[in-house]
Amino acid sequence: MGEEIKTALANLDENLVLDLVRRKIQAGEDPEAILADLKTGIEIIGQKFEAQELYLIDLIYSGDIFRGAFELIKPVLRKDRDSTGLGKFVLGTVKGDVHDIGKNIVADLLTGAGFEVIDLGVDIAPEIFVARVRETGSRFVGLSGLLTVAYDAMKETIRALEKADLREKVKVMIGGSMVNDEVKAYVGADAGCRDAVQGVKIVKQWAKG
Amino acid sequence: MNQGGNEIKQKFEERKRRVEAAIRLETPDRVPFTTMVYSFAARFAGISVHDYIFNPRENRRVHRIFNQEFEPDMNYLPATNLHPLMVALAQPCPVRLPGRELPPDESWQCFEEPLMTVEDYEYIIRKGMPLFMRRFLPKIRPQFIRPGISGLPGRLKILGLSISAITTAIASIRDAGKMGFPTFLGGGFESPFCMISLARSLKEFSRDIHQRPETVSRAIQRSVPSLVRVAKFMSRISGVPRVLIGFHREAFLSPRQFRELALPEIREITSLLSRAGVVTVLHCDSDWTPHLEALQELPEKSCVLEFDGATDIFKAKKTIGKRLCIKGDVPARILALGTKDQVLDYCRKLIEEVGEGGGFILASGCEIPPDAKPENVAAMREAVEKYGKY
Ligand code: B12
Repeated sequence: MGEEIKTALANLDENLVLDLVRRKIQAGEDPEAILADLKTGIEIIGQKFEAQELYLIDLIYSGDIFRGAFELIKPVLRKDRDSTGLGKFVLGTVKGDVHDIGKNIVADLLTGAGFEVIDLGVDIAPEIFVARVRETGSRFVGLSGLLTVAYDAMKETIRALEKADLREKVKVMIGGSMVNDEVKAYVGADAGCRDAVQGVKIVKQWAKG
Repeated sequence: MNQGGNEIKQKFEERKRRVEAAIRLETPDRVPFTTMVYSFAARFAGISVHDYIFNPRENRRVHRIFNQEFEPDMNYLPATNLHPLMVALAQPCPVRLPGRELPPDESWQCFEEPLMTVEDYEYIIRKGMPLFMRRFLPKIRPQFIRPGISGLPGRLKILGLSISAITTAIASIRDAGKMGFPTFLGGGFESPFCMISLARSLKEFSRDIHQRPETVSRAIQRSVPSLVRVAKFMSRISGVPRVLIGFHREAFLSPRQFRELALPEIREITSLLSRAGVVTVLHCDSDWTPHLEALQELPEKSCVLEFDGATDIFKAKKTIGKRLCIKGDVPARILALGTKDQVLDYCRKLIEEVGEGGGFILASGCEIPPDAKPENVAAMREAVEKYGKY
């Protein structure tokens, strides 16, 4: 049946996905296994996107289907499970910037890859990033920003992490359509990415390495 | 008329001819330059974004300063577009505005929530977009139209806002004209596809596209005639035979979805307007490269395609450059972070490849970013003079 869930998700058949998940939960199947199938589905979607078989609108929709299915599984997941999988990931669009279409896609793909994503939203001040990193103990931070003025906000955020003695403990990935090596160096991030699928590949390596 | 007056008039005619020749796919004397600009101009003139948006006199002054300094071939857009009501037509979702919900000099912010429901599609299909918008406006602009205001007072309020939008527009077109600058656009708003997507929120809209594409398509089709009416009206009162329509989320579709959901809309709008003598300025945000072939189906010379730096504009020239005028696309990244030489180099490449044989207008990709370096903006103007003579 694993086959079915991931194919249903890769085919963007929302009703079928939700239906299968519900039935499996009722049949007492291991929720971790169901989640794993869903994640495989998201991975397939990422590959199809890279191969230009799926487009942005599909990526956005698949994220929503995934989230709906995850909500169904959550209540039956073991409370003491090692729920984090690859670990926690604090993500947000930096202060002054409200672009979030790309960031939301990243959040979905990260969740699909096995991270527990703490999505702070948009227009997020450095202090809030710091507070949430401290609170969650997350080892990864993702900063999204599409405006060029966002680079200063990214830089400030990273500086705030330094001041809070957290910089050594986290890896910071920045993303957005204008990010390049210069920007990465300017803001002092560990990596920068203009493409969600690529970015997620990199952080997966971080988590595993 | 005095000497100076004649000179201004001549300049006005010369600039107008240049741009209009490019739109007709002819080769003007040189590559024309006119570009979308809002907050950058305010910053350059030293006033806050808030005053720029809410004070029409300051707005005119800002553009006077911009036009004088950077000398585009046309003034871009009359101030209507910044009018609260117009911003609503362009962004039908809740906003936070500078000097109101935000500090006076910040960029406005826009927040999508699924305020439009699935049932509203049926409402649009039955009653049309204008009636839907009238009901919807208080939800997204409580700052200007009190929620709960309905019936005659509501209608009067909207009428009042419309009249002030029109007078603001006419005043700014006249103002630019007095300095010898024709205006590029008579008005502008968003495509039905984008309006519905913003009102519905992108997430819900992505679901609708997969689950009820027929309904989405019908609501879009139903909205086209009223939009075309408004566009024609804007063009008539402004005396400018060009109107901007913002298309961006169409780019997120797969080529197949694009042909089913977006192309009919774009084809219909451009042909209806073209028949009425109005050129559609298709503002194509995001990456349109996968859809260039589909755009070949638009009526010849019916529009100007404005690319924002994300589309492969060189490929666009090869695919559709013989049928439609192309405008663009110095990326915001270079204007804000690059050097003057980088801007000149990029413009030269644009002029040589996309400008080849005419049918090209040089511009920034989308608007000039608020934090662009003034010397980089000036470099675009320099480039058309230096490399753009035919
Ligand atoms: C849609 C859009 C908007 C929408 C945003 C809606 C929303 N909810 O996000 C609205 C209309 C609100 C908007 C507003 C503005 N915008 Co805008 N907008 C765009 C536009 C057209 C597309 C962006 C987009 O969503 N693309 C699709 C997504 C999927 O792509 P993406 O964001 O790049 O994300 C991908 C990658 O970058 C990456 N990624 C993104 N984040 C992250 C994070 C991590 C960790 C990783 C690994 C990867 C990653 O993954 C994604 C998928 O691959 C761009 C132009 C463009 N072509 O980029 C302008 C653009 C970004 N906007 C711009 C501007 C100027 C503005 C405004 C200031 C306009 C104004 N005059 O007021 C306001 C500012 C609002 C604010 N304070 O933030 C400029 C920025 C220029 C600059 N130098 O700063 C652009 C480039 C257009 C332009 N040239 O004028 N905008």
